[in-house]
Amino acid sequence: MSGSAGLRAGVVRALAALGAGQAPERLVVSAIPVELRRRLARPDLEVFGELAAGRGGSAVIEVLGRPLGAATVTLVLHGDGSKVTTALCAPEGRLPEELRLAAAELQPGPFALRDQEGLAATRAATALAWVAHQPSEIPSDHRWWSEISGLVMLGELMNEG
Amino acid sequence: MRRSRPRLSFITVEAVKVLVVEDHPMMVEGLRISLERAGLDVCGTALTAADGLELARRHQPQVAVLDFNLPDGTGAQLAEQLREASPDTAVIFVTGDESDSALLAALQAGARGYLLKSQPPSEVAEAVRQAARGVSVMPPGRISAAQMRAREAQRLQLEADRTRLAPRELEALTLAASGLATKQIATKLGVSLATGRWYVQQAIEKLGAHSKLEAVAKARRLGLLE
Repeated sequence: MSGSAGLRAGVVRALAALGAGQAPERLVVSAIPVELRRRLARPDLEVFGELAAGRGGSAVIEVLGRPLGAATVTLVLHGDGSKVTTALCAPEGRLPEELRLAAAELQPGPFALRDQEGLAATRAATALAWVAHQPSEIPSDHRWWSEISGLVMLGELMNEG
Repeated sequence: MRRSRPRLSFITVEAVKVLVVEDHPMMVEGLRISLERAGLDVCGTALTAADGLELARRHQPQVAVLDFNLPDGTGAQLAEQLREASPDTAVIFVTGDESDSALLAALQAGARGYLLKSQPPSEVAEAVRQAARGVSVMPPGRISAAQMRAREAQRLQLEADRTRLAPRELEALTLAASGLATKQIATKLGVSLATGRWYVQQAIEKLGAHSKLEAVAKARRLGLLE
């Protein structure tokens, strides 16, 4: 997976596999994190992917690291393959007033997820701001990348305080 | 000896005036906040090239931070318009576009910097300061690599144009590539041996080769054969 369309295409394929009851391990654990890492080009940020242990569980790909503090920018690929939610998450976090306008186009607070436990459920419960896309509605790579890097920027600004 | 007291001098440092043009509201706000936190004066933000141009005319910023892909044109086109509308404005791109073509278009448009959206906010602010001082923060390694790739692509294109084969010549060469002798090629094409030989010879000459084998190899390299 390389080139500018790689991330979107990888997520769409992983969602299709999840929807079909398969476990897209290579995509979630390797290919998508590798592409995200390449695009971020930030040695101070780590990216990893995790597939839920049980069938039908959601997959998580997330960006974390010192510049983000306790926050993460997390892509939750819903276990039924219906959508991907990209969220800025932080345990006991709160989006500072200064950043509210920047996050105005995002949904605030936790988001609904079928998973009752696991990393995806934890992230859904601690989301501060998020946006969800069905596979057919994932924006163009340029726009989606702005969304993801915008969330990383919000996380860094939040951590800088 | 009585020493005179050191004279205190107050220097007023004016904040660098910056315009941000970016079509994604979250990014534009994030950039505004991070630049202001760094002590820069964001004189305006715009979501389109047209609005950005208007604001630049009005505020004459020292630096314009532009996205490359805008809803009503490219950032490179806007950078060129800014040269007339606000001649002293230095342009920096902050974009998610990793393509060589975008980087080279930015360079061509006179950009002083090309940063990726994922770079830390503090680096963007530093790049703005440098640009305001007249320093280029273009990535030299990436530019030379992109220029080299562009030259190679141009050379291959020129070569492909020069060696454009007629459909029958290409067919003859394709058959030659599958190992057929000239007589068999002529039979397959339903032409006389002399005509078949002519097609092959034309292909060899147009490709600047000296033999059928060399012509096939060259055509493969140029992507003329499937």
